[in-house]
Amino acid sequence: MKPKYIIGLVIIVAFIVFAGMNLKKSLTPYVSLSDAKRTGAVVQVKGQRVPGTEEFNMDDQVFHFEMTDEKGEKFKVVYDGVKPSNFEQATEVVAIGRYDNGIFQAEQLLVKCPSKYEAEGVKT
Amino acid sequence: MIIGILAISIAFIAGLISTASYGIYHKERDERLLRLANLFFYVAGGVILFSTILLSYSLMTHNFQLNYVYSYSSRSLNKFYLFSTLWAGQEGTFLLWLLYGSIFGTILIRTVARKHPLVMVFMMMIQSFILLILLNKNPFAAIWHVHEEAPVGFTPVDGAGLNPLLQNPWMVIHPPTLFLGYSSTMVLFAFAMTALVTKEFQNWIKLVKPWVIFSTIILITGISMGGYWAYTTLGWGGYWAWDPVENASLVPWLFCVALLHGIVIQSKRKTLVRTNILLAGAAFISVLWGSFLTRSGVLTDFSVHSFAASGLTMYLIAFVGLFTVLFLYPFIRNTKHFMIEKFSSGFMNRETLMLMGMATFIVLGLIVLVGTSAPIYTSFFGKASSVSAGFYNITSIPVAALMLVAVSLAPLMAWKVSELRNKKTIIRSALIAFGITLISFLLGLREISSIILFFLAAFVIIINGIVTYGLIRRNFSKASGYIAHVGLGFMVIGILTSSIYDSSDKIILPSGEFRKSKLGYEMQFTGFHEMPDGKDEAMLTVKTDYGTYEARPKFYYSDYSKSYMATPDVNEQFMKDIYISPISFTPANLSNMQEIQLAKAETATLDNIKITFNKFIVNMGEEGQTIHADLIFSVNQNSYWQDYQVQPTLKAQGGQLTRDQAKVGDTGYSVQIQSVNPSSGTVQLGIISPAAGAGKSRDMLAVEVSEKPLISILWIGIILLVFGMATTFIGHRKSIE
Repeated sequence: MKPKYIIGLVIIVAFIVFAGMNLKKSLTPYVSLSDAKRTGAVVQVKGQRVPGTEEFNMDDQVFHFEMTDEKGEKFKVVYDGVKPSNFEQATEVVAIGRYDNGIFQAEQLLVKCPSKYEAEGVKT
Repeated sequence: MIIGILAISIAFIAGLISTASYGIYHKERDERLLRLANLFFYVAGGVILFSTILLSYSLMTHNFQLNYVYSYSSRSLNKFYLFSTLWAGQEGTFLLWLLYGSIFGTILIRTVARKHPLVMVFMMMIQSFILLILLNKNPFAAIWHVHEEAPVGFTPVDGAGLNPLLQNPWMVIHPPTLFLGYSSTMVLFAFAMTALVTKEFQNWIKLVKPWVIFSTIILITGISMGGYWAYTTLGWGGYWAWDPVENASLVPWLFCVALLHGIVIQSKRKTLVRTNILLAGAAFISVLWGSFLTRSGVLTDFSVHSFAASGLTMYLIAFVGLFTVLFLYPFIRNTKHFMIEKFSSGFMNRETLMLMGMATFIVLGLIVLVGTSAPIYTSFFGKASSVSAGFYNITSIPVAALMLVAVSLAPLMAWKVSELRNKKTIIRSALIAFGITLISFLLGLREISSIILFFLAAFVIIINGIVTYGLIRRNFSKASGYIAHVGLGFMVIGILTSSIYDSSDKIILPSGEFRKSKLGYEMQFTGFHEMPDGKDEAMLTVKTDYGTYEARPKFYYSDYSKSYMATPDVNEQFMKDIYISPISFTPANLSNMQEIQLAKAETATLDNIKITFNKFIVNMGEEGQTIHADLIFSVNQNSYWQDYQVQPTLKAQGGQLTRDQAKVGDTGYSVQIQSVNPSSGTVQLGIISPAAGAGKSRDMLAVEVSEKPLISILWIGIILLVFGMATTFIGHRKSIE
């Protein structure tokens, strides 16, 4: 075998290991709130927002709201970012982040919105 | 609409007949069969064109009986956006794909179909499969076919409308461009399949090359438009989020770039035969896989973007599975038939470095593929997991570094012979690149990985710039590839500076007052400017070191999404963009209103005010009734009661009540009539007290302001990249003629 291929192979193997490790590290599983509390790791919690709790706090400049996970457990979410523009419409919210000190610190919010006609049916 | 449904069925049948006829012609070589095949191709194409026109017409004339028209458009859309709803839904994008496929087919019939009818067999096979999908998700389905609760013959008054975020010029041209790129990969697939079946592994690359260049140009143009739209519209400040939908468009492009370079190597050195076939197949299959991921709804939980679950899952799985097997089976069986020249030995020749560059594109494509598909395979082993953006950001750093090394050195090397040539150029360029990097370091470039990438990108720009300069006077079209390389270098620098060195600050702006943000800008919010399309703009004055400008970010309530939508204001300059995105708006605080009820001559005492209700003054006019409440309003100011006489009014006109607040001198208090009760002679008053904090009685807009240094370099890089590839395309066309 030519040295070229050996070097190429070494680089590729090293890279696969590097990429694999990072893949494992950045996988964020879907869990319930109790799992999020237990692990303290970055996870995704899916649930419903509690309507009327959302507020942009002018003082500490964060967006916070309450949501319930799929088991119905209620918790507070703080998101240091701009509120997703279709938040009020969301049928489902996915908060990605970690649970810390009684508050879910979200790094990212995914908002699931029904397409309009699904939500309202056809107006007759 | 029965005629539309019929049209899709006719196109499907014509597509099948055409596929079969091209297949038999390939065996028999009977001229009549070719004519028959072409005829049915044109029948299918004509019906597809007719369907597209019919759907556009239905959209333009608001035929809300059609579920598609109802779901994506409304009467209030202007003509421009109304037309764009043609590709707002899945059915429409499939139709668009078919239309493009028919155009490509027409070109192929005029060029290669007679000699290589198999290309048309595979083209029409794919077209027929998409038509089959459309038969099941028909754009002409009536509303009562889809919604069981709707009675037959029902026509809604208005449609559900188009998402306001999509009502943007970039969103009008971005999807059709991207779909042009997607559908063009089926030509690459058809050529690769033809090569596999006929076992002609050298000739096909000449024929496919212009198509590969075309796909590469169109895909990157479409991807960039999407990024620019996200940057200027969505307001989160970035152009790329590693979202599944974005990733699904990136992978085929990466494979196309690798294939383009593989073709160059193969045409010079007759190697990489297998790799090129595989890449052409991979480009198309990655498009199918991407459609499956984003359209079937499997990622519904993982992406903001993906279309909602659609009931097409089985068709889309079959689409990917069928064509993957169709491709891999002859590929594996043919392994021993591949005639391969040995790859040259040594490192420092052009093909080795180009192969290294290709490998980085392939690896990047695989990384994105593996990352995006994570929710699928992790669900087999446990909890479904998605990959965070950090994965792509980290893994792409070493790949990008290797890519830049390859792109900087390859242009200087000779084919075949391994020899480090142009040492002087390399050393000089490296020194200049080092100098530029040093300056950037002094200006604040810190992170080690970005320093390395910055240096390599500068190195790429200088070397490819020198090569371009050398070639440009002799043969412009030969310089084109190197221009694209310069573009790549600029893109990397733009990505580095704008993503790693952006800074942002959130600031609250009470109406009328200048506030200074941490980034050093003084900003003043003066109010809203109403727009005819309902997308009201916040009016901001921004003072910077080099002048003052008016920022107009949009902030408006959307009936479609039942919430406030924000579109940022981007002040684009060469050195940096100032990006202002509204977060939240709080109107002047009226909630500290207290209500009291008073009878005639009664006095009420609140904390430090006293109110006495004297009498009503009622005016009957032609325009309706006006009731004034005559009040004595006493305010305790430093233990001294100051009296004010005030008369808030309530106007009743045609069943409409209007309340005029009365200000109580300059005390900050005001008062209004909530309601009157004529029978008891009492008045219900609303007393608005000045808020505790002075700011709270004013409208307040919270905005996020951020700086994106040198993001202009990224756009310049993309333009150079596309320009370079476009001249390759034109140069290639000329060389054929």
